[in-house]
Amino acid sequence: MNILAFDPGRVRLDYSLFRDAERKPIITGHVPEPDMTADPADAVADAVGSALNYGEIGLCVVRVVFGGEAFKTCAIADWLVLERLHEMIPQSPLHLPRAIETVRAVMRCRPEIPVVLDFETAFFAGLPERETVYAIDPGLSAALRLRRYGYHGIYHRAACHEAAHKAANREAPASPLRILSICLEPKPEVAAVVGIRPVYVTSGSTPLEGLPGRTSCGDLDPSLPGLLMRRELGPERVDELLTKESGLSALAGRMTDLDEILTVDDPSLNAARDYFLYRLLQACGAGAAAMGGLDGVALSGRYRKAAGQIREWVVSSFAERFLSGKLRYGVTMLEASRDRIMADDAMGTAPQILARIKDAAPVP
Amino acid sequence: MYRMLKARRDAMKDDVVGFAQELVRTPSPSFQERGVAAIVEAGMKSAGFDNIFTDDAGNVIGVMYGRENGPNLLLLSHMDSCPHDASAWKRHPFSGEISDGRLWGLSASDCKGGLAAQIFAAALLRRAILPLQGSLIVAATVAEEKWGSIGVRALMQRTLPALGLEPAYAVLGEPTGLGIYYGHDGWMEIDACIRGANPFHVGDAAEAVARRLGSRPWAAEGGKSAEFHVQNLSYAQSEGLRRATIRMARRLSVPENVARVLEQVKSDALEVATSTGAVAVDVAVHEESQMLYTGHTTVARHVLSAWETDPFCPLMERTRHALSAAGLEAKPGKWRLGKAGMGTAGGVLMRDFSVPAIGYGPGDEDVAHGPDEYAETDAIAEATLGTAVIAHALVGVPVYGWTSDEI
Repeated sequence: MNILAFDPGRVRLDYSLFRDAERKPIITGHVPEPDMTADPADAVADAVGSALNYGEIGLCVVRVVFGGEAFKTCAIADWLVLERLHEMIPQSPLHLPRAIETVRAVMRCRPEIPVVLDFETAFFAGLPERETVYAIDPGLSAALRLRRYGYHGIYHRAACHEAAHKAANREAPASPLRILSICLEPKPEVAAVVGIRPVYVTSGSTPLEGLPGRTSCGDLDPSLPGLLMRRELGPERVDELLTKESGLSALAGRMTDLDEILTVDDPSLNAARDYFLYRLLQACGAGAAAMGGLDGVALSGRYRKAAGQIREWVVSSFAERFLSGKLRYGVTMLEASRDRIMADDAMGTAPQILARIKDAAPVP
Repeated sequence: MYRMLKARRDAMKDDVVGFAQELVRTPSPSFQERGVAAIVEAGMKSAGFDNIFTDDAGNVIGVMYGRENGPNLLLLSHMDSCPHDASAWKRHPFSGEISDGRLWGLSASDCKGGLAAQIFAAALLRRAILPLQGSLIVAATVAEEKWGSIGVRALMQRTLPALGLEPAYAVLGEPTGLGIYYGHDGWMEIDACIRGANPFHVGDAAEAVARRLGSRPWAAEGGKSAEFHVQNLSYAQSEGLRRATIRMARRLSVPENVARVLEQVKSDALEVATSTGAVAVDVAVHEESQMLYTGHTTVARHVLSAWETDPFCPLMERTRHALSAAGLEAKPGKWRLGKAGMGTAGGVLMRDFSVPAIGYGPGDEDVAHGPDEYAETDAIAEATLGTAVIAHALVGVPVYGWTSDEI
């Protein structure tokens, strides 16, 4: 069965076509932003058309950054699901509209192909309440639906699964494994996972909270945005400053990324490297504390060179200094790409999905 | 978000300039806007508006509905052109020629460049799939270059209420050179009518009143001197009475009230006129009947209200902040209205409908209402982006904390 995976980002639409469980895609492609000035649905239709050159598509899977508390697993797209996603747009205003548009475009051009939605937040829907709440007026939190999520759940879930699988091959653990999952993406994220349940994550109500990103600031004193706005900057400018002009690139004084700051010996990157590793250390410590210990570390994400350095850092620095070297199940590196994981997720849910789709109403 | 909008703006620059060119090439004097209205309607269809509607006045309205009932933003530009003297133009007024980075032609600045930018700003938001909280209304109005703003009045009195839409703010696409303009002085035309049985008394009184009103330094409220021009003096005979009508134009400042100005004029005219003999004096705002291209007829009062939005009000502040965040210039200013007949519908929106308004458009006030009018093509594209940015700040769903390329 061919599976077509879409990652509808704001900057471009990525797609990959996989055959069954083959690790490498048959084709990959992307439509960059300037080409998407006409109807964005055309880009999706073109991708579907390209994929059909390699045979029938059994499933489409679309990455959805936000699914709120409503979506705890993958879902099959139908009109009700899309309506529920539409209601959540204010909670993820940049990404959800694009995802909805992508799903609708697939359903319009090939309505017979089931579309699976793979939610980044689904893995974190069950975070303990102590981890989700903010210490502000509960009424306000409820009204604005403020709570903490993680935004790399697809990677975290697969990485933890892989770590658990490897551990089980060595010995059957007596109790659920306590895994620190470090996702090395442009906005890095650390999650602490006990068994299959996350108990801690660095991100927040938006992805801005947590570790510093390529251009986003990460954790700040909450008074700083107000202070900056008082300097006549206004909320839009402050948001640009914190999301697009901060983070590792701001500390380096130029655009950079995790691969570069962790592998290139350049003194101008020292401040960014030191800050990132310090914040990572704090996050790992907090995650281990939330789990009451640590059995293993799982790495995932696009920054593979950085992952090699982080593995070394975990073993020689973090585990050695803070766990007396006792990291029982070591460090697992997830090799799979996110689109491959999404294809796996879609295939895993296919039996239920295909059973349900027979009864599903068509999307208007 | 802004980088994404800029990329899309760059990609649609030729389209928006081409659309403005098509508008300029289509003559649309006041009350004859039908041709340009059809182009606007087609442009709105391409832009992806949810609802497109032509009202009984001939205004074309496009609505992009938001998720909630408000706040709603009205983007307003007029479709009609001011009268022109083709012999004074070096280029053909309807050539729509593009050269030296400029779109040349009648109304390029005032305000077909602004109208194109507003329609494409909505298209930009739609194509970028940026969700709206309130609704975005783009209205292309008729009969703005004539007194009375009857197109805008019809829009506000009948059309938008019928659509269930109440704007919280308005942005005019009039020429501001990409500045944020927040008001201008006004003008009114007054008819002073002197009647009497004795033609000599009426003639003497009319001459005296015209001399007095035309020469006196008029103190406007706020301590400034008000401009006053006697435009015409005409005589008529009816029902055994001699009648003289003096047509005058007077500049209005923001705090001035039309009724009080009329009282002041009447008091002065009466004092001068009665000293010359037995005459009666009436003073009123000049009115005329206007027939729109739809056949709808209405009476227009020759009052262009002075208006001013508080430069520190939320509309100005949010606009300034948003433009600045997008890296666009956000220079505040006011229209000078250096040529006769110039004005905007801001006074109608502010004074009659309590809708805070600003101007933001690509045109240049100095070249509007004159020969060889033009708009910079880069400015039209910039206004498209700027208007989209303003609209998103005012009625868009906030995107705070989200990045377009990190997640």
